[in-house]
Amino acid sequence: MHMTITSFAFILFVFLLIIIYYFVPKKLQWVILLVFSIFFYVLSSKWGIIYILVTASSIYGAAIIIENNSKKTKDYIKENKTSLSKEERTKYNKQNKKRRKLILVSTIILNIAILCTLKYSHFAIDQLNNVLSLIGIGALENDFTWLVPLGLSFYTFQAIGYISDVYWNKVPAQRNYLKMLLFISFFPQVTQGPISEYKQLSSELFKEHYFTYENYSRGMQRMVWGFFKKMVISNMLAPYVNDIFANYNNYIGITCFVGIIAHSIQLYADFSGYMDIMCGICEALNIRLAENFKRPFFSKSISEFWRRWHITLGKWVKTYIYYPLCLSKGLMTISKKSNKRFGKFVADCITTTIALTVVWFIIGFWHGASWGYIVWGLLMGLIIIVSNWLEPFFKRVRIILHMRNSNFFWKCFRILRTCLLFSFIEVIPEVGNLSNGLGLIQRVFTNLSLPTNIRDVLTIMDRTDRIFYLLLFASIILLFVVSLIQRKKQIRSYYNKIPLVPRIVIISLFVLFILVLGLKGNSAGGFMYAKF
Amino acid sequence: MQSFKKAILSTLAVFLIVLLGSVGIIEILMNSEYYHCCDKRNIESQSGKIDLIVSGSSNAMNAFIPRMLDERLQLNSYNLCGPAMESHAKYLLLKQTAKDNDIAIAVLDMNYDDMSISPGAVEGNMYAIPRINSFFDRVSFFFTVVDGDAMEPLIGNYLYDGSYVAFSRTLGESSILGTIGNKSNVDYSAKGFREGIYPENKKSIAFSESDIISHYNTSQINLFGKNFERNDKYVKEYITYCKENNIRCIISVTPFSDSHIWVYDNWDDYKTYLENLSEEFGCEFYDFNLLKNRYMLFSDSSTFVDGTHLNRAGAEKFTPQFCEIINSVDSGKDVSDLFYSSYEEMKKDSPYMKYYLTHKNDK
Repeated sequence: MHMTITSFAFILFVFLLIIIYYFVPKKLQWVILLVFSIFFYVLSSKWGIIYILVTASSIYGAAIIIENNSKKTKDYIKENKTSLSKEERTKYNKQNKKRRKLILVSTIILNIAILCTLKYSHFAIDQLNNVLSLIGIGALENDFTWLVPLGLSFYTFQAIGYISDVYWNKVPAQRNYLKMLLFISFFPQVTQGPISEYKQLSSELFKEHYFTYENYSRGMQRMVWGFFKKMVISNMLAPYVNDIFANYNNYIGITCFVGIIAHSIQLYADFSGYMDIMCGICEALNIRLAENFKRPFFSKSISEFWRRWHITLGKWVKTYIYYPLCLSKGLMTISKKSNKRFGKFVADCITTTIALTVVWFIIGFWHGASWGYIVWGLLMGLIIIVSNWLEPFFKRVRIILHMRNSNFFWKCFRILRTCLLFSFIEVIPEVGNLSNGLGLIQRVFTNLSLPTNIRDVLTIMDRTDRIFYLLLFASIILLFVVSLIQRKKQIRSYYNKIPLVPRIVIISLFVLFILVLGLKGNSAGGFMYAKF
Repeated sequence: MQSFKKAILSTLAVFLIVLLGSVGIIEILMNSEYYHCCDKRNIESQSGKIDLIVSGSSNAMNAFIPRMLDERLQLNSYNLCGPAMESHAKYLLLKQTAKDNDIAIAVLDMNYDDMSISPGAVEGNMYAIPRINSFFDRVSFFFTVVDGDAMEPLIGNYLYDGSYVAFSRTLGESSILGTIGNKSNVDYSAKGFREGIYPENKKSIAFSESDIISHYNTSQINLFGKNFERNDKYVKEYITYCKENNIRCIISVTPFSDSHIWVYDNWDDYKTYLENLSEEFGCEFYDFNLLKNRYMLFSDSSTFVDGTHLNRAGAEKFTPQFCEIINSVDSGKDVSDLFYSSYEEMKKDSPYMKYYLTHKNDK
């Protein structure tokens, strides 16, 4: 039995959890979360639980060793402050720091190795086989299959974040193995994130929670909104987008363009819908989960976009890859030398260029084991890098043209530009392979035929059940309007001012609407980001 | 505690409204004859007059033309078949129809693919459930027959289609897209209804020469397993019901195309199962794939829509052939000479066999 998130079984699971969670003694609430998380994971990924146990065990043990070593070092130096010379103290400190670093690095390598083996081995062997075939050697076997555990990429990053934070003394090591296991396997975030920081999530998971009707109803409202996005918007757009992606050579450029935009909407509705469902569940449990989206399609640059889309991934990469890279000996040396030669601006740009290239390569590769994803990541990075380099130029142009960033039309232009850039780059890895992705984009610009009627653009959406596709468009507009309203205030705060009975009727009709439009296409598949 | 009580009550209220709304929408669909094989009004208009029914899935739905059965057998027939209908549904519809009609003959079509239909499969039950008359029988069928995994997609289809019907048609007005080809006492002319949904396209599905060589006896039809056992159970219930109610039960197999038969090598295993079944229950069995004149009657180039379904031209040849066999049996003739004794024997006369034997060793 496999439990998908958009199933009746999952709804039952959530309600059961809420009831039990608030009835058990407060000190045992986290235990209930752990039991339900393990149950969910075993149902979804069966033997994949072994990998989570390995990861949890490795970081649990490593964190304790690191912390113990750190404490031992401090205590020893404190006790022997007078008897040891400064050099001896420094040497002792360095030795132990080296030991702690070794444990940190070994633990990270172990978990990265698991991730790479399970996720990237086929890709690696394919590339190796390409090289081997060039030099006339036979190909290696590549049709074996691994059991890839659910959420591997997400929980691995989360685990690495935790062990790094312990190493940097940002958080104390978790001494309770079961609590560590809960942090890694917490079911609302294990499939598709958010990639939580230990400090933030642990403060939520292990404290006592009291039931309030307000939190419960707000949580349920958010869940319903998430189901609306996923089941109505994402699922209904999926056949249209898939048809265009699979047969783009049969369609005119405008249709391909509409398909590209529809794909962005589908992806956003799918991923943010999942987040809303999970955040809603957590809100009902009085747990605050980190937000992963902040109206990304209102961003004015790609850089800003990635501070509003998959926020926790960006934050993780910044904290654990970008900053350490920028502060590394190698890049600091480059920065100093460049500063001397070219000045501060160029030095900063060179350092950030190198760091961003590495970061976006990793982000691309993390998303998928294919050249499409690598190119996707590098393209995103390239746009940010070029924007950094050209910032003084753009600033001068704005001054000459008397254009302020707050100008409405200029803002609209930047938002539209960002949306289009994201949408076009996003399709590259999604259309089967790199050449198909580029082919689809090329078709938009090379086939400039005008549609003879609406059917040329709507393709499979122009059917007898046209009325439902009109409702789909209305739903997309509703999504946009709600996003606009939520710039100033949460829509739920308006909604919750309505008296209880009409509120119940409204949400019931909305749920019915979701079931009517969303349940039929629900068998189409799970969530798009779950494949990462 | 107060707020917890409030949460429970408000959640139950939402659940109740959604449930009532869903049931309402689904009931609109159930009473609308939206699916092409839903025929409440038609079958009610024939009530008390039906004395021959055909039970089966899409193969028999396409193959038996009731008007031709009536003319040649001097009976009033009705085609109860539906797409992908599994045996439990066939059994239920037999009982339901027998309540209001004095049925003399029940033809149970037993194509092999019927026997492997999962009771949880969405399509068959999607069409069968709206044909069940009572609300409680429908709900009972849904919860006892439909597989857990199939429940959600089924409800999803019903809600979607029911809402479409509610939006686009007024309740009570005919929303028929077509029926299953039964003659009708109901006036569907305003909807452009043509009797039957038999596809008329004469598409050739004949094998090319290379296919003849590469496809001979390369696969096995899927027999037995959990779905087969479940269908077998309700086939026996069907036949037993006929025996207990003095209904003459005829097991039939409607013809497949030569190319479809050509591919599989274990047809005789299934034939043996059917022969054992007919012997055990003492009912007649005719496998029309094994008619000795099949190669003259049916042709891959003109009488089949695909490997397993006759088109209109094929049905117009098959139905009279069926009636001729029944009339011959009723007049005391031995019809066994009209059939091959096995698929192996039949394949020897296949138009593909000559080419195959001549060219099978060609490179």
